[in-house]
Amino acid sequence: MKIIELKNVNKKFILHNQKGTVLNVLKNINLEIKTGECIALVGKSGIGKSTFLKMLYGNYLPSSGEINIYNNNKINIANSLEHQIINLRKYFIGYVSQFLRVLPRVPTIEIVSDTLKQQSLFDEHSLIKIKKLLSELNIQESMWNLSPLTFSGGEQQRVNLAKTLIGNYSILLLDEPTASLDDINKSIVIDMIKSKLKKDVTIIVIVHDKKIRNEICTREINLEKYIPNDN
Amino acid sequence: MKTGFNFAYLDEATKRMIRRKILKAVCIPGYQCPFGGREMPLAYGWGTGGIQVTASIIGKQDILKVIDQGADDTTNAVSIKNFFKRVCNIMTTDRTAEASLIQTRHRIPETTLNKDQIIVYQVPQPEPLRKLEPKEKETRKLHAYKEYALMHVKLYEEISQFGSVIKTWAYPVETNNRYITDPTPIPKFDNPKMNNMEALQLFGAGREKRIYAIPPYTKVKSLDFDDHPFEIQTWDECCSICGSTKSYLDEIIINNEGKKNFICSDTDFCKSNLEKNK
Amino acid sequence: MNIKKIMHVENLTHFYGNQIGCKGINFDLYKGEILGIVGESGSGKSTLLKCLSGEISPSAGKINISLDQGGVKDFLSLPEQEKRQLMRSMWGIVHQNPRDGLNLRISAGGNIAERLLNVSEKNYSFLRNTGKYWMEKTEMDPDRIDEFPLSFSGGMQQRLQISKILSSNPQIVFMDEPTGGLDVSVQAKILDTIKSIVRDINVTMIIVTHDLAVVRFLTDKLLVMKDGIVVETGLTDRVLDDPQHSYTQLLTSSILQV
Repeated sequence: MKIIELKNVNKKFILHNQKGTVLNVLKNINLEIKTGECIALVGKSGIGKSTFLKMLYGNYLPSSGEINIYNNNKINIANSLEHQIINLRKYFIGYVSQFLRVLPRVPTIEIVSDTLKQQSLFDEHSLIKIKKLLSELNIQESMWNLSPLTFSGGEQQRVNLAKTLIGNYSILLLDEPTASLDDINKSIVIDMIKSKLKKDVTIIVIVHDKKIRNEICTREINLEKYIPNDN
Repeated sequence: MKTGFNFAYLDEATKRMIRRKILKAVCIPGYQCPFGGREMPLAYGWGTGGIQVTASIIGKQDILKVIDQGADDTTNAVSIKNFFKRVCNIMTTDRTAEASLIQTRHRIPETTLNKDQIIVYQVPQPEPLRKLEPKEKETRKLHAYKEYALMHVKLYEEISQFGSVIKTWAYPVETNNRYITDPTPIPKFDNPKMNNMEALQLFGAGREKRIYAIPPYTKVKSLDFDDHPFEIQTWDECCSICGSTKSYLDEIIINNEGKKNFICSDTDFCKSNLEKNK
Repeated sequence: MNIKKIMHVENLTHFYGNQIGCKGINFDLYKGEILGIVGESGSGKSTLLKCLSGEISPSAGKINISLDQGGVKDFLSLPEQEKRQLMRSMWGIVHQNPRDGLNLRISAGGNIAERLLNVSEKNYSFLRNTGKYWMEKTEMDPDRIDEFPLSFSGGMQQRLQISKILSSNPQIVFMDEPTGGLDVSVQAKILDTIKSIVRDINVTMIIVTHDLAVVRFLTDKLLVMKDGIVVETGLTDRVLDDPQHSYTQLLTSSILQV
């Protein structure tokens, strides 16, 4: 069953304040992704892998084309009302960016529980679940009540992962989830991704490590073929 | 009766204008009607509003009683009574039950008024919201739209600061479930008498040029909170002249040592009570 | 899932004489949405807010509102009484200067009570408890409930104003530069307070500000205004991360990095 469908998607950036420079990034993307697939985006640095993910999340606007997400009904992310996209993000699509972006002063544990609260899944067992996840990700208990903004890069990334992985999403978009992690943490995260896949979650991931790709991914999409030739 | 005056001092056209305003006021209980107030041979603040209302409705058969703080023999009461005697040649009385028309400043008589009587209040400030909202344009809107939160905020503030509502006179009332009305500076002890009163109640403010009314048998409710209900004053003492325990008492300091007595504020009530007890 | 549309704005235009205040504004506001209106001084954002909140009546256009009771109504042709009633209970404005939204002659608790009394709660303990509840919720010391607004700091006055507005459980809250006159640390705390309240209660808000950090923190969608017109609109993070219009690009590239 297809869950994501891209039709004739083009993306270019027009830099109005830099002499109107036009950057053509991706062109003529037509593809389908099925439920439960784990797709790796590949291609050399700067090719537009993050841009691709961000378009799927509605964070970047395609210059033309459709990006359809099949929930109960079809929603075209490129052309939907804001509250529909917000709703989709709340319940359906989770996104782990490269960098953690949170409010100052909010403790780690609250950031993670917020996801469940938004999905109306927060109950008396939730805190135990959250604590378990944080321990599994090797975030020390003494840090749970601190804001993650003072944490190290790797810790921030794990909080970022925890924040999304705790939720009950059908699609996960992961932008280099293991980039700043050491080997032990890497394998922990990989196991978590695997267990998500077992639950039929669709995952689209950017990961440079070929070994990891081979371990988790069902398919690779090379963005080279979507580079506009007029560049 | 002095000659050179029209009956009751005011000319007939003025009286007609004021009567029309009174009719309007009766139709909209508690609503302040502006009227073309006249100069009276008396300074503002001495009852010019009340006098104009009285002058407009008084007839040759009327028997007038005038009280000031409950007493028939104080300056303001005596001079107003004399004024009407002079310009109307009518009977006056001290007895509440005998009077057909009562003009009052700051009290309602203790004796229950009946349906054949009219009571006219002298009003210093007709607008109950004035101290909370200085702009007339705004207070009119507040009345028109029944936005009376401010009035309750005032009560809230008193309870939060002093533990109870400390306002003891000119305690605001809601007339006929609609307009918040200033009952004039009567003690809150008198507020319950206004509710469902058989007599017609008219209010005249001379300086502010407003007339308002409470028709007979109209609901008048003193503002309060569910959990801080309205209460009237009580005294541990009784009247030292007539011994009454159910009238409004004035505190009188009688010597330099600060010894004090309590006596009825309503002189007529005190007198009749004394006679009855003899 | 069907989310209720509570405001529909069509071709809203206001002129000051020959001068454009705002022109041809269109947007829809859905229940629970937080809309940010950004733009530089003079871009018409405050004019737009004033039109929406009934403070001025626009030269042209339509505002349809859908209340919890009473169905869809044409806001601009509502009688003054209903507009005032709306602003006193169902809607609320948080002004930039808290002194515009507070009654300085009455205590903190009295200020909150006034708002509640507009929806007819004539119970002292209820007013008292609700006042304390909201003071706590906005991170104020509830023991200061009987103090007067002037004895509070600017940040605390702003919190008090927010408590006052939220106490009546409003349907739409309008905020005009809610952190405008405050220093940075106080600003961050207030934004945090607003954000946590928004998470708790499903309130719909329209926030006018020139501060992009504020909109990124708080809002779901954005109108970017320039010279009285809306130049770009969309999801907040989309507009800020992938701005399409040259003015939005200028705006987002002008943020100083700390």
